[in-house]
Amino acid sequence: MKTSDPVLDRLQAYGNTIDGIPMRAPTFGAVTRPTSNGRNRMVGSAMALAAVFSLLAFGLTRSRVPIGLSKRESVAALQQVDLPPVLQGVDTVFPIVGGGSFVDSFGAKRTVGTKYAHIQQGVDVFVAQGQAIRAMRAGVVSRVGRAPLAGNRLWITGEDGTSYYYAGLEIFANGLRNGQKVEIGQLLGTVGPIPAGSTEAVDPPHLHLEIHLHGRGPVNPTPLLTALQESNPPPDLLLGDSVNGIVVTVEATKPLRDLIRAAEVAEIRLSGQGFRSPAEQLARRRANCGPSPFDVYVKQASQCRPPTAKPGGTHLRGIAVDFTAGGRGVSEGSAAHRWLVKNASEFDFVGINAEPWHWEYRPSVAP
Amino acid sequence: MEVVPFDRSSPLSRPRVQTDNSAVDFASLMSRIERPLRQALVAKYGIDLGLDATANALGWAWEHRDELHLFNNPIGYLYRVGQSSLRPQLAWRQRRQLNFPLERSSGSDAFAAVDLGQVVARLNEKQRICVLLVHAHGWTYREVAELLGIKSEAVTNHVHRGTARLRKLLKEG
Repeated sequence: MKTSDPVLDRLQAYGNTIDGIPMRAPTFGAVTRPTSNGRNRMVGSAMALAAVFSLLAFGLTRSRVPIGLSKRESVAALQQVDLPPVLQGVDTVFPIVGGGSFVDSFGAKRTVGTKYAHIQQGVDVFVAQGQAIRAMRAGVVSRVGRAPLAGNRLWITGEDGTSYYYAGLEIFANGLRNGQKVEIGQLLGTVGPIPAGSTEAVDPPHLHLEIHLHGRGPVNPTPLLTALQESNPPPDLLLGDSVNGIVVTVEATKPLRDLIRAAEVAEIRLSGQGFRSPAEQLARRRANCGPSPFDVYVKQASQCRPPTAKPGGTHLRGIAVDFTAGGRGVSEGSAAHRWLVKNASEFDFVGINAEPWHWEYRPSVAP
Repeated sequence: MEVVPFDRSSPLSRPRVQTDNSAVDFASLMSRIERPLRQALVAKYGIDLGLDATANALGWAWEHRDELHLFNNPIGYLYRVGQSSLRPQLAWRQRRQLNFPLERSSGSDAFAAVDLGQVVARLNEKQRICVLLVHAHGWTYREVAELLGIKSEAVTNHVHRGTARLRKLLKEG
C-alpha cells in the first residue's frame, strides 16, 4: 500500500520494523492491577507468566538478570542465547588496533555494595591508555556521550540490529555524532582511564565492550573476540621465515640471521622464541605471574618468575626475541650472554637488564 | 523492504467475546489482541519498556482470563494494565530518553540523514502514539480514540499536528 508521500511510506515501513522485533519475557515477575480501581494489588507470579508464554508460544529469552543471582546462575541465564551468524566473525574486526588482552568476565558481579551494583554484561579488553578503538562492524552511531559509570561511551547499531557498546573511551574521534554512519574498522576514539568515583577505578585502562542482539539483550562477546584475536594477528605485521625456530618481522629477519651465524662462528648456538600470539603471551603471563587479573595485567615484569613482559609488548610486534643457548634461557654471566652484550648492537639488537635472554630489534637511525 | 499491507482486523472493531470457555477463547483473543496492544504500548514507552509492559499486561490477562469477556474494550483495559505495571520502574526512568528502534529498511535510504526512530522519540506522547498507530500501524482514528478514551476529533488533531512536527524535525535534522 504505497502512498505518494515519502514520510508516510517511511512511517509504514517503520511500523513493520517495530512489529518485527521479537517478544520477550517480562523483566519482573509480578504485575499490578490498573490503578483506576483505587488500589495496587500485586497479582501474578513467575509461574503463571511462564504458563501464559508457553501457551502462546512466545520466544522466551530472558534479557536482563536481576541483581542477586549467584554468578553461576547469572552466567547461565545470560548465556541462554544461541550464537547467531552475526557473532561468528563475518565482516567483523577486533575492536582494538593491534589486539588486546581479555578474560571471560561476562556475568561477574561488579561494584557490589554501591548504588552502581550490576552484573557485567560484556567483556573488558585491557590495553594501554591511548590505544585506538575501531568499529567492529559497519553501522550507525545510535548514542554517543557520557554516562555516570561508563565514562565516555557510544552505541553502534549494525544493519542487522545488533548493537555494540563501547565504554571507557578517553576521547571520541572527530565529528562522531548520533545517527552518523560508521564503516567497519573506522576510528571511534582512544582507550582512557576508568572515570574516578567508580569503584572500578582501580582497574587498569580498558575498553568495556558489550554486544546486544536485536531485542534480545546482551550476549557474551568472549568467543567472538577470541576468534577475531586469533584469526587477525596485529595488522601491518609481516612475519619472516623461521631462523633456528625464531620468527620475527621481515625487517628483523636478516639481522637476526646474521647475528645467529656470527654467534655460531664463536661456537654459541642460539635459538629461542620471537613472535608470540596474544593468546600465547597471556598464557605465559598467567603461568609465570599468577592467575588474578592483577597478576596478569598489572604486575611488573620483574616480579614474575621468570620475568615476563606485560601483555601487548614487543613480542606481539615481532621484534623481540627470547634467546636460548643449549636448550636453556640465556642467563646473566653465561658465555652466550657475554657474547650478546658485546656483539648484539652490531646487528641492531638491544637487551634489557631484567631479562638477560630478552633482546629487541631496534634499528639505529644513523646511516 | 517489502511493505506488508496493514492487518485491518483490529480487536476493537470486533464483537465482544461472549462465551466463557476461557482456555480456548483466551488463546484466540490473545492472538488478536497481542499485536495491537504491543503496538500501542511500544508507541507510548519505546521498545524496551513497551515490550515489558506488553508482557506484563498479557500476564495479567492470563491471571484474569475468566473476566476478560466482561470487558467492552479488552485492549483498552489491558493497555492501562500495561501502563500501571510500569509504574514502579518509571519513577527513575521518567527523565530518560525513550528508546525506539532505528529505522532499518533495506532500501536505498537505509541510512537516511535523520533516523525516524530518533525523531519519533522527540514527539510529545499523545502525538507520538497517534502518529505511530495511525500511520505506522494502520489503525483508524476511531480505534485510537477508543484506546485512549478521547474523541476521534482529538485524535485527528494529534495526528495532523504530530505529522507536521515530524516532517519539520526530519527536515531540520
